[in-house]
Amino acid sequence: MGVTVVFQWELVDGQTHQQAIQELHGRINNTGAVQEGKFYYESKFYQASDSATTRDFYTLKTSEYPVTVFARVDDSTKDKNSCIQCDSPMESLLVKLREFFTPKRTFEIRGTRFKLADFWIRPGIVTSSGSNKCVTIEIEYTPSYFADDCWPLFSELGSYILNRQIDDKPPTLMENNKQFNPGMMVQQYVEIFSRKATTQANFQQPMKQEQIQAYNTQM
Amino acid sequence: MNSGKMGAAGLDQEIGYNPILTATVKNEQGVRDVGTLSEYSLQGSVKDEFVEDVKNRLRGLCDNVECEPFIDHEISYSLQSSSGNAVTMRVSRSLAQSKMPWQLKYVGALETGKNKSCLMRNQVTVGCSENVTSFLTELGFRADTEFLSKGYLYRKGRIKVVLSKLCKMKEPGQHQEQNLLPLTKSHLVEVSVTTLTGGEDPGPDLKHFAEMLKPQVKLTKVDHREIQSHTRPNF
Amino acid sequence: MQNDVQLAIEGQKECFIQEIALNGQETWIQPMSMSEQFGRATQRIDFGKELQDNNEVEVKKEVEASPTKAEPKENPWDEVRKSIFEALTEVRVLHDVLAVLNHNTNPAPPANPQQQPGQPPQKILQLASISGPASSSTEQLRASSVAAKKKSFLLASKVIKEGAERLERNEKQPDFHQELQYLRQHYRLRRKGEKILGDLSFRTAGSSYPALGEFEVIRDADCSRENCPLKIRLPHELQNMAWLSIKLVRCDINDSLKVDLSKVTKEETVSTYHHVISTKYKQKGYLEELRQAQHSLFTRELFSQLCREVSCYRPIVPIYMIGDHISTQIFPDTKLIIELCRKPFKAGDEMPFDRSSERRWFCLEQHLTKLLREHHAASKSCPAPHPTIATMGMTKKQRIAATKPYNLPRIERMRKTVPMIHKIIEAAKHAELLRRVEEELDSIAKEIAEPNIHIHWPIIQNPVHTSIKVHFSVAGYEMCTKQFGMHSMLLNVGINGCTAIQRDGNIVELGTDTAEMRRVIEGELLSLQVACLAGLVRIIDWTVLSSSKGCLLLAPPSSSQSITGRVSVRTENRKIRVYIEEKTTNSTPSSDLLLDPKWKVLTDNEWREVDWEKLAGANFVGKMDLMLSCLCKAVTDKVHNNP
Repeated sequence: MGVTVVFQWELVDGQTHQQAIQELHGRINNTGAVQEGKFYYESKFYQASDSATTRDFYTLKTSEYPVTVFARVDDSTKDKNSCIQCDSPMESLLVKLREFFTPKRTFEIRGTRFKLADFWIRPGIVTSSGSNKCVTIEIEYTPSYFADDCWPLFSELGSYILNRQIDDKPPTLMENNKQFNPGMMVQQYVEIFSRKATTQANFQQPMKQEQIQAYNTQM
Repeated sequence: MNSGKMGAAGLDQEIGYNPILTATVKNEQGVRDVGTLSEYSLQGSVKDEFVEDVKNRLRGLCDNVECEPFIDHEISYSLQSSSGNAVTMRVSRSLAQSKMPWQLKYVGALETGKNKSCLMRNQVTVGCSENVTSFLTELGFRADTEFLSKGYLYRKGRIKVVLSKLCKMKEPGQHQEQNLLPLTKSHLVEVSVTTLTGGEDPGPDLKHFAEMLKPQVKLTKVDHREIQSHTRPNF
Repeated sequence: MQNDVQLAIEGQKECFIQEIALNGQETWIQPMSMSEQFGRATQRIDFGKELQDNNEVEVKKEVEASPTKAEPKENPWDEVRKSIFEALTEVRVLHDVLAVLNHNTNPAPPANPQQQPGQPPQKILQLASISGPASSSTEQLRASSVAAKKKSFLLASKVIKEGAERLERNEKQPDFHQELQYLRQHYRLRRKGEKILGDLSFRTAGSSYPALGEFEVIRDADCSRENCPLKIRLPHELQNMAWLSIKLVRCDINDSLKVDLSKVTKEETVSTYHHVISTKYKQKGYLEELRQAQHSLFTRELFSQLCREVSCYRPIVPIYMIGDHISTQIFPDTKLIIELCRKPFKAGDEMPFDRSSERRWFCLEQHLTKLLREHHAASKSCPAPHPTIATMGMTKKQRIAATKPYNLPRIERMRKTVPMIHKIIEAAKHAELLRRVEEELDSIAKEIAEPNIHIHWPIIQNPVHTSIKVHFSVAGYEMCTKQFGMHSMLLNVGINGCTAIQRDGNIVELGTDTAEMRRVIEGELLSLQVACLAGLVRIIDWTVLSSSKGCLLLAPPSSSQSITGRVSVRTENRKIRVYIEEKTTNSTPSSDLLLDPKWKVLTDNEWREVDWEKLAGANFVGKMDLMLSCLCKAVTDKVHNNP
């Protein structure tokens, strides 16, 4: 367990999600990483029946933390860490609360796990109710708990795999020497899911051609 | 609880996660759901001056392990829907072993009829990280009551025996000794068994155990709604 | 007040001085205490005095009493009591005899004709004078009365004897309930209907072995006095003694490939590992039987556990399980055999162990027992839930795993359990390796007399690792190596090989073949001798020109004057060779290029090997010591004669 950052892959015009994954696998293989098994994330969106007094929330289960169920309230404040970690009976508890919170949407991410020295790379396609939504790449650097310390490593590996410039600062929720906890990883996924749920619009413009050129010459 | 799991398989079987909880069944909506658990219980009380007798009796009756002293801090939360339905959750944490996860417990309505010899309710207990209280408040739950229970835990096979003293706190969140007010002059005795719903009825086991405690404590099936309708509890 | 004289007043001595020793020490006789005086007074009461009125006796008694006063009596009345008791006995006997005579149906014998009429009839005396002379008419009467008295005495004595016997018997009568109580201190008993059942199983200790461990307690109502009224009845399968025999045998490399088992040659047992229970402590009959039964139950659980593991554990080297036999090749030429042996129980019988190749280093059987007990303990002691509303039956780790949370690798590590068979194979490998190392070290020490090898065996070790320290020294020259500390080597014996850590920190990996270790030690011995020589040389004022491991170049003390006389020591081909530099007589220049005289060193000198073994001395260093001192003299002489 170490600092984990989730990136979103921007589709180039006309590229399908499958093609994007193929391309990503190629890039990851080029770094010398080796495949090590499969992974999955399963998330459920629960909607409050009485929106005046209660809030919506997400649950997340993953193969990376096999005995844990994560739950997080869906809100916009990013730096607040209100993700709880529970035992597996949480799911049957939620069945009991059907009257108050109803499961609306599910999100799934499936893919292949890669290992590169101390890094774990998990590229996968986000699907919701059978349709592909987007492509994510999760990079985990196991030895460190502080994103500030190892960000240069992330930006180097990330910019090569994603083929675009990465922000020179870690995501806001990990900044300022905050110790990493798995809740941060959940929050990043929840942000992506809620973005997909609310709007299909791309938040980030694809990289311009000349930027890519400039970047490639740097390498 | 291990006796069922071990048996013929012995060591070879993976000592994996909780054996009860891994039994998954599909419910009517096709949601993967772990089998619901039911709690069978009997309750009684004993005056403070006779607690030592009960402790000695329990030491003889229960498993050959030391009784476990505990201090638990419990808060109950409730949520009311627009249609008037309410759900109550209990959050408990151990002050004796503060590293252990918090527990979130949902207890269903009393299962009446079927001529049950003891109190039977559906229940779900979930281990949680310590920010579960803030999570519940975010969701919209409201904290109702808060109390501290102090006492001893005994075990006999799958039967859990809790002998506890309920205390109120003068100020919320302060659980030091001088800040505690005992609620009554007696101790609560509760024996309970948790099994998969629809499994074999542990009622006779519990009854048998209650019989053996008879002269000191009278364990009965308590209908909480009756108490609530008769008198308001003083907390 | 300065004129006052201080007087020391001492109380009068109440004790008598018994003896004054030569050093002035006085031995006092302590005055008698009240109780002692009282005791003495009671001793002086003389009951004989009244009767006999004899002064002599009193004097005699007093003489007797005086030595006894040294040992104080617990009860001062003891003497008195005894006297009264004796008197009472006498009175009783008298009374009895009188009663017997009074009830006599025969007429009392007429008075003795010689008797004077005034005298009272001497009935008591009659008893004493049975064999006395008597007249014919009264003879018969008296004889019959004597016979009657004899008979009644016999009767009385018989009654008394029987009573005494009954009392005696009552004391020794074995009591069933007492035995039952005794049994309960060892085993759990419970009532089931009319029966009393006991439990031998390890279920309360955390075992989950399904075999029946119940025995029945039977009361043997008509048992004789010597036998125990408590009998036990064991289930059939527990009536056997069972034990595990663990041994290592030598085998072929492709032993496991052999199909025809009959062709397998007689296996040579390398070592056995039994835990032999001391036979000094023997318990009562049924307890011994129960103990054996319990032991056999435990052994069978252990073996069935191993079998179960063998059937689902798939290591690279296959493990074979045939009947009561588990075997696997731990090394190419060594096989581990675990066998379950059975034998019907007979009191006082011992398990037949082959002790010829018994290894006491550590016992594999005990290790197995420990493993199973650990497993029992782990399954029994599931910690209590905290807080109390939590579900029961989870360990602390399992609870924390979800909320911490633990990631996949950690969960996998948590779930992994190492089977017992794997642990015991590792321990067996280690035990065998240790045995080989031990044997090899012994044979090296036996073969190589010089230098000395000292081996420090550890007291503390674990089943898969042992560290042995091997020290080397040259007799007589120990202090020469002292400056570097003891010359030693650390030998870490593991599972699949050992590592030797040499003095300079080099680590040598050794396999399971101990020949490798022998070579390392031999090399170490050579380098020790050279190192010791280097130490010696410094003391006797030679100069070490260069030194590396196993090589040395020495210069004599006055080498500044003469270049010749240097000594070189090298180890070649696992032997030490010594060379001495010598000046050649012929000084024909062999080179046209190097004309400077200083280069003559290169051409003019010749190295001659010394056959050092022929020198006098106890060992290499001693021989070299001698040689160097001789050389030193020769060189100095040369230097002095040269100018």
